[in-house]
Amino acid sequence: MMARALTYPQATHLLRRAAARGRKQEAQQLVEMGLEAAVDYLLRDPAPAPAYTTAATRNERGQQHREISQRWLNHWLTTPTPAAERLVLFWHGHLTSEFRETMGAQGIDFWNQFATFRQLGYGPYGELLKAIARNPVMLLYLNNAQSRKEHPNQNWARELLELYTIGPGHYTEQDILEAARAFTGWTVRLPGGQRPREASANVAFEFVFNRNWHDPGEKTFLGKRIKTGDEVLEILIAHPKTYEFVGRKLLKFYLCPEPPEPLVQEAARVFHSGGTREFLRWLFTRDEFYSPQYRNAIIKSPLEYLVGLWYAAGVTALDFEGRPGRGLYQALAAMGQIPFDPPTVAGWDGGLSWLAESPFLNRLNLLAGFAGREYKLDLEVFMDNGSGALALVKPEAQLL
Amino acid sequence: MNRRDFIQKSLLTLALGQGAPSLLSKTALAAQSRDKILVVVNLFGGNDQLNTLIPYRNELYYRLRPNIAIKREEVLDLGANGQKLGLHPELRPLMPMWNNGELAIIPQVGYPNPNRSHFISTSIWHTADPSRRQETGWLGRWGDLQDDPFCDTFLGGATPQALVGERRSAPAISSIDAFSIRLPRQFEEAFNQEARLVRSGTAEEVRKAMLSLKGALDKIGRLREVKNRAQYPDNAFGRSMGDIARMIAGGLGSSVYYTTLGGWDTHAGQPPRQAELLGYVAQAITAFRADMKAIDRDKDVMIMVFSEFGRQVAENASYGTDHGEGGLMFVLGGGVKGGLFGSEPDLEDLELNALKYQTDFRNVYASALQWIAANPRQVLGGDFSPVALI
Repeated sequence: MMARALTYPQATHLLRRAAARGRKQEAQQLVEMGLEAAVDYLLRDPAPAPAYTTAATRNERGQQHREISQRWLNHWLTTPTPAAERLVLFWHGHLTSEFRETMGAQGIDFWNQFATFRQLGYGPYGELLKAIARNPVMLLYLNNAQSRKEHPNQNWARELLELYTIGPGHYTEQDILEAARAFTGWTVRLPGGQRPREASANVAFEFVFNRNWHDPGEKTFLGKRIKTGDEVLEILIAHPKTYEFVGRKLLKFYLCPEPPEPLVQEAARVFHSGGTREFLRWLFTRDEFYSPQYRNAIIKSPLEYLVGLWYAAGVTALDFEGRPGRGLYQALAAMGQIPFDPPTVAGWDGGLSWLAESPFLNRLNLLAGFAGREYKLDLEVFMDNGSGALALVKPEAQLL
Repeated sequence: MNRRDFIQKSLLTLALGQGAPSLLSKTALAAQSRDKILVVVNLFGGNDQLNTLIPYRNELYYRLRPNIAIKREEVLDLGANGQKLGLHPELRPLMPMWNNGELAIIPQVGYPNPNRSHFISTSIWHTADPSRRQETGWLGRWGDLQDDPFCDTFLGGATPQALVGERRSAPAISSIDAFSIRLPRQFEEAFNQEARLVRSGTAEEVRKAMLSLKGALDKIGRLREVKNRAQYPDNAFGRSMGDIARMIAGGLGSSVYYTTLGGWDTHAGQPPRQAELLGYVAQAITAFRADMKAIDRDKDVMIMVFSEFGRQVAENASYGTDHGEGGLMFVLGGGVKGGLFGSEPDLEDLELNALKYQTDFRNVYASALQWIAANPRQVLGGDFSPVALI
């Protein structure tokens, strides 16, 4: 079969959507590859991020947060596989954990969670979900780490059903209670029984099943008799609603804010049978994906905006510890998107909420840094009709 | 918000930018209300009622909460008018308001068939529609009837659903002092020029956001010289309340100000966390009222505090509480009739370990709407019995 052609305007759209980062030459390379090969090239296995170690103590979490934020953004700016990092952002906004709310967890724990997103992000959703259910940050964030049979903590069970799998309307309060019982005893520890107070901040938590805290009795979950948290996960992983719910979110992230219903149904099937990479391959090779109605249909999140802009300007390393870098780091909060720290367990609202008055103003004010400096801005991928720094105040600069 | 909303919002902003006197362009309905102000404080995460308004004479309370109950000797006694209930010690700054009859406490506020999801329950409170058919916010629907883009103002990052209408949504201003454009002249000129070029699709929505931003920059810029006359606690919530006071003193002209304070989702380690947050609320509100008194506006301002639900009655294994149902509201101000609007909670008649609701939140909204001379029926889409707060 003949390779399908990819035009240059299609290539800039594909690169912007897949990776939120790119320059003219890369778009031209994709054109030369043709559509299928270009998509496969973008979706190849992620390059691992550099290891994280810190000189901070376990109490110096602010410093750790700056370090991992800087490290992640620098990785996104330099990795040969930037599409994997935009997908990490998706998983981070979906299978959320808030840094400021997750007391006890360290930078290393959050760094490890991102590594899980990277390693399993393209694969079957069930595998990612099983890993996240045992992820120390998640266990701490949604309080399952402290859940015991005498008084099960319902936080993880509730969000697992409402936000991570089947979505509202498909379960009862009783199902949440029963699922919470099933997950009792899923907790964390430091290796070798180290005490958090004395351990180095480079020591990461690990998952442990505490039999004494577990409620071994029978439970009824979504009409089935079960005993363990693994069985809860299996039921949710087999449930078609899980793929409809998460598949819709993926379409919102990669296609448009309100994807048409037939497409959602098809996306759910592809996502269920083939995993996330197959879903993306399916989407990126559809003619529809390149139609004018979906081009520029999404508003860049602050992280996508900054990564795209810095990359267009040839920036390869940021320093959040230095004085100008501190300002950028604070701007992330003012724009409404702090990495590793979504505002709520439901992640970021996205869309036009990024452009409410205060967050939008903070974005624009960052452009001052680009004025009068001899940056060689290559805006071909960053935005349509972008030529010269002044183009950055066009509405198109905000679009993905 | 859909595209139409944005277009409408920006048309209004434009109209204002062209110098239409806001007073004259207000509807008759709004004109009556221009002196009264509603300040809404949304505590996100689900504040625990039982440790805020404490049934400290009830043995069962201490049995169900062996680790997290507020000690009897620390509870602030509400006296004869407070039945057998008392307040959390961190709320001490509010006690003079209680004693002056300016603090209304409304326990177990909720709605039929309560939902324990933060997001669904928040959306129900914001739309004032437990059937979840409404997409606009209750104050957004009120805002649709006004002709002033600054009839309401949100203090924070992105406007919540409560303030989103069909035609417009409240401007989101996170801080007066940070709200200024700092771009070189040629960028600012290019920005103004781009904002005039009509687009289509999402680009047009962005352009509308640019217009809204321009309108807000003009209005908020004029407030920078206004100073607070009271000392606010040094945290984000304190600063928001301080900015609301500056907006009122500077004549921004909003009838509704809305702000939020998160962190109330206390599944674990509840006591120190909730105490800290309650302290923020009490201190900031106290400072705000002192500020209002200093400019002689205290009797014009009603402050309404709510959370999406209360929490469960029995504590969990991690010194916390899980999501419940009925929750607590505070309404206060110099023109508010204080008192306890409800009864001591029945800890033996629970719904899956949660307090049942007693008062429909829309009854409280109805009072708040009356306060700003709005028509509760028009906004809430039904007849609710206003709580006698005015």
